[in-house]
Amino acid sequence: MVSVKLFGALRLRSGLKEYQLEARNLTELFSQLAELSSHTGMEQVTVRELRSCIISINGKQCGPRHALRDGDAVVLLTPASGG
Amino acid sequence: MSYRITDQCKGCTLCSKNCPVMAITGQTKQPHTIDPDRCVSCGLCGKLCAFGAIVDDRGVPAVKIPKSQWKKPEIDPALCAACSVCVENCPKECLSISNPRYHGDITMIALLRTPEDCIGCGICADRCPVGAITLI
Amino acid sequence: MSSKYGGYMGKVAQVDLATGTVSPYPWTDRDRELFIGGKIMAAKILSDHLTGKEEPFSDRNLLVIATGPLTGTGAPSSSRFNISTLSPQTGLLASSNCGGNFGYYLKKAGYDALILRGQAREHTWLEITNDKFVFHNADELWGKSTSATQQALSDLLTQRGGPDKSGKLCIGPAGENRVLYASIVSNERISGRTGMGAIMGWMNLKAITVTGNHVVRAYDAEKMMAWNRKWFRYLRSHPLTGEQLPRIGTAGLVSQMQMRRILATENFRYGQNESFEKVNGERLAEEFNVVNKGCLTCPIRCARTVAVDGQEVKGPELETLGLLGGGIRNDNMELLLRWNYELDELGMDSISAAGTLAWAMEANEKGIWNCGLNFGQVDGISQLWENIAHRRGIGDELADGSRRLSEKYGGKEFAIHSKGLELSAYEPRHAVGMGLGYAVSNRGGCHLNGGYLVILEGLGLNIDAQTPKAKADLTVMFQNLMEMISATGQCLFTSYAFFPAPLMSRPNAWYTRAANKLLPHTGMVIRLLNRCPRAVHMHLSPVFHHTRGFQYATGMPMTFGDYMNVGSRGYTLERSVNCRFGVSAKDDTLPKRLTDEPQQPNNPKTRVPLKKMTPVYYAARGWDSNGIPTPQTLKKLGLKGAD
Repeated sequence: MVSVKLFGALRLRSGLKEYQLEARNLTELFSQLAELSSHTGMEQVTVRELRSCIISINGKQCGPRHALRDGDAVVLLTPASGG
Repeated sequence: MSYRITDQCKGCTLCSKNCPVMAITGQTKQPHTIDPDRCVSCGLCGKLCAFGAIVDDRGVPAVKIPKSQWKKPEIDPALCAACSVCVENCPKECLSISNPRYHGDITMIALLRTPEDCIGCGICADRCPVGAITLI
Repeated sequence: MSSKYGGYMGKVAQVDLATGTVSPYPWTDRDRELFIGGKIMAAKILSDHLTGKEEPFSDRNLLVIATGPLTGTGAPSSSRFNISTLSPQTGLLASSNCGGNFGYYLKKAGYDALILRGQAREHTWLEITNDKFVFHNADELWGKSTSATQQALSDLLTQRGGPDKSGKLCIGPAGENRVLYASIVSNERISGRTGMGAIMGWMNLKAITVTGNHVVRAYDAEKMMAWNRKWFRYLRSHPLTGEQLPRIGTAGLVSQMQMRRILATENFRYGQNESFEKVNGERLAEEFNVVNKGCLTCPIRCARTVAVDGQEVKGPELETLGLLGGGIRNDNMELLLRWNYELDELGMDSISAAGTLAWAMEANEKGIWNCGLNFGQVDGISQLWENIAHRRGIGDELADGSRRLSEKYGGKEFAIHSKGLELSAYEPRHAVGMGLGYAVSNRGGCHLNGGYLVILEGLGLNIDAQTPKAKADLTVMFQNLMEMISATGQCLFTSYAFFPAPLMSRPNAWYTRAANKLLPHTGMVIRLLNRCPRAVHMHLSPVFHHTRGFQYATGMPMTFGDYMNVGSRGYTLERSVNCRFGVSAKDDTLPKRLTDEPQQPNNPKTRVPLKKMTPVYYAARGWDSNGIPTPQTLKKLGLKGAD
């Protein structure tokens, strides 16, 4: 089980917020999330969009090919700026 | 930048009653005057005046037009970015920004909310930065 | 006196409140070419009047309200206006930029700028209708909140002449009582920083309304409209200005700042706040946002509205959310929204109010000043705002800001300000370029006047946030760019589109990673560009629409290089004026917490290596080692004799 949280414009657009999912790597996680987004009643997101997020695992930034271990906390975030 | 009333004015008060910015003053049956600081050149007085007593900011006499023939703005939703310039400049306050269609909607545009109030002045079309408004 | 250039109205009015007289201020086309408008124009006017001996609260100070040439021409996000004065908070020339509709209407009245001076004998509000300036007694408005003041004025104007179509600005009780960080409010937009409201309060000037029936015309209206169509479309399709800012507003940054460790927490002790999810932009958008709003002329529409007591009011921006959230260990969003509203109503800068409060909480914790305020203790804060605005009890002391408090009680090392102005919510120990910007900024601790390098250091791009490499040169470049965008009357957010969309939306792509790696090594190239900006004798139109837009609106020739050059002129001019007031390298500092204490105890690099960066910055700017612009630099920028 890994926990995943989404932030940024993507979260608002897709309605994906936070989940506990069974996944061995990020690619698996992304396809599950893409599938989940078709049930939120909002815009569906693609795996490609999820791969383009800023990704952090347990507070450390990493690329989209990373493996996952049980208990990992994944955060996905679309870039933001302006203040 | 202001319209003017000539001595053709019969003092019927129609213009002063309808001026959206209350720029016209005068007693019944007396010649009326337009306050040049208040007038926004919407041209409503000219469209209403039966005596041809109104001249526009370039000195051209205005022509009476029946209300049924006044044009109305049409807004191109593909161009409009809800920048509100038309809303801010409409002297009759008949334009406004649309409501979001759902929570979190970011695709708002300007709308003609109260077409019955519109005087077809065309200020909205003139000021629109992207030319999204045409008078039809 | 009119101008051969488009966009300008050609007139500047000088208002003496003491005598109630209005006179034209000479401003020529040559001045327009050199100083454009907005904050650079204001800097020139102030530079011509300030010698270095003036006091902020005196009849020798001026309050300059200036628009830019693009204001009212239809260029995107161009309703902004600038207020500059000798700031009561920093004692130096400072500027504050606002998105309300006052600037738009000022131009409709036929004026590019207003220069106010002197103290009115009674409480006054000023009504401007084209060339008519009428001074009214404001006893009945005095003491009223900013929204009540504007409503009362609107009712009055509506009674007199149909729907109220006027631009307004006013102060609240905080300005009346000269709280040093009092703001000036126009609609719900705030000219918040550096205490402009206190100057208006000293002048006994409660409000100004302005209206008129002039039309701002672009020099080449047809080309301008065609260009606007492109420009609007570009902004609306860019991931930052077309997606993130409209959807979450500036508040959307909180989560990313948390991730990058730049979210100021507990008076800048930490760069992360574990309960950020209770006070972030996503929660604001999902649970509290009623509807998006925008400033007049803006296609981005980043403003939020929320409900407080069943009333739709303005929602908080990132700075307020960060500093009144984790900054004081508050995780109650409802309270935060209420405070944001109350601060606007009282007319107080939420950044400085929050920064001062956080200092007081830490001072209390350390036993330096027993004021009874504690981190996380949120009861009674509303009352505290009232007390600050009316200068009652400890509010009277808090009204002077964290610098003066720390000078009185001690605790300077954790008084988070630069030149007396409290820092915004970006914690610079994990974005050292932003730290340099805060330190050298003319305005004081402001992220925008500081160059906003966080956009490279974790927001947007993600270059090495710890290295001082190239940061000084990049800071100069960004400061110049933003200086000029402000001067033209446009919003700085239009400049985010400067970063090509793929760099922003694909942070993991090879080209984005390459850009991140490469940028810290571009110092010398950027230095050359800063030194000879006019070598870039071209438009960067695919990403940077500003130069062509400027050209079509004004008819003034403009290339990217010229654009940067004017920005540099403005920034250096402001610095020269500040140097007359004694500013030098010794003032370009940050509190010890940020320069000496690492953010993460096990990583000594997580602090701002300011001493390494400021000399490079001065050299990049052509200032001497003491931070003073050299006569050669001034001459090169057309500012001969400004020292």
